[in-house]
Amino acid sequence: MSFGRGMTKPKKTTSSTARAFELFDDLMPIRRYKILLQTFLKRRGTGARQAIAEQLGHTRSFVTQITSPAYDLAIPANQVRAILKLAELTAEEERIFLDAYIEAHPERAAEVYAAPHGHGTVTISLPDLGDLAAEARLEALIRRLAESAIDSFVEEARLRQPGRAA
Amino acid sequence: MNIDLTHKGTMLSVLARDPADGTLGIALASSSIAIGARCPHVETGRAAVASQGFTNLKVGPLALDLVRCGLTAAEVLEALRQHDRWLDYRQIGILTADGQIGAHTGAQATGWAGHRVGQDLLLLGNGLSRGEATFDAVVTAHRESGGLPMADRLLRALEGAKALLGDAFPINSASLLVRSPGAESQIDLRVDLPSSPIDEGGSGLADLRRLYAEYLPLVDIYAARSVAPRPF
Repeated sequence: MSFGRGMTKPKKTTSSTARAFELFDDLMPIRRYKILLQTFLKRRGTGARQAIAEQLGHTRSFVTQITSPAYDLAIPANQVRAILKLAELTAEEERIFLDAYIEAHPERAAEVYAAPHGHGTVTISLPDLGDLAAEARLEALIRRLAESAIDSFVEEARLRQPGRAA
Repeated sequence: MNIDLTHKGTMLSVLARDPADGTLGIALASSSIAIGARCPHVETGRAAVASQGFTNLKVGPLALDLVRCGLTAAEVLEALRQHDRWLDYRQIGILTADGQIGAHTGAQATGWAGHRVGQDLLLLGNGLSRGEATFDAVVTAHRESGGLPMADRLLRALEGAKALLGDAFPINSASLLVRSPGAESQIDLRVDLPSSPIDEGGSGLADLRRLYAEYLPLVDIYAARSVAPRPF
């Protein structure tokens, strides 16, 4: 068993030094993805913010502002992918963060998901079927399926942009 | 509009987990009315959360959301600690389906306030006139009811505290939530106001016990009806 507080005399509140904003306001969707990113960055250990600042050419202060829920500043869509890569998020963490980010900024979905940063590459190992023709057919089939899926998702993202009718 | 924010009371929550099947349960009793509308939050197979003591109505849903996003109980508490400016007034308990426990009792919580973490068990209370002895009574009642269904054990745990505190714990409302993965029907019961006033011997906990006794035989019936309204 472990125990918590348990006292009759309250200590001095720390609320006077607490952050001067309310967590649960209209900016909650932005704070939510920042809470997630901040937690994931903490898992990476100290230095994650510094690495992001150095690699992106920003000041550490700017990186703090775009990664801390205490600040209203949203993360720019064109830097999301780079930040995620530098932060070395796991695939699951990245999925969770991007879902939260797109929920907060649905108009930025196309830019985030279609951004050609050169790291949106999927590699699939093909089996040795012992039949060159069959292997070629399999590769062609996978390629067609992948290209069709990409086209579908890019179109879906494009339609979510403001001013686009479904 | 004048609102009395200094309103003080007595509150006790018991959260439990069955590691065998991931069942999560939470039972609460309070001197305030309609406690079940504000404090307990459970997502089947994920976590049980108690948010009490000057309850921030959004903390419970947010905590469940963050657990759903893969944050540990400790990380959820840390996120809330940093960003809820009034956390000093609040009590928050988190018990996840995989057994993580996080608990916070703010320095400004009412009267004697604290929490106790046990194996698959978490207690949180404030305004408890007998302090830690209340938790001892809860743990004893819970332990001695081993082998009974979780819902029954949670009720007995609260009843153990009530037996110790007597009139010092007037219970105007009580709530019982038990959720099992895969179960068709769940326990989700609450008493928002006792059937008779406290000063006439009423007790929200006694009413909840009676409600549970009435409801228990119906659980399987409602589950069967949910699948098929009549035999086929």
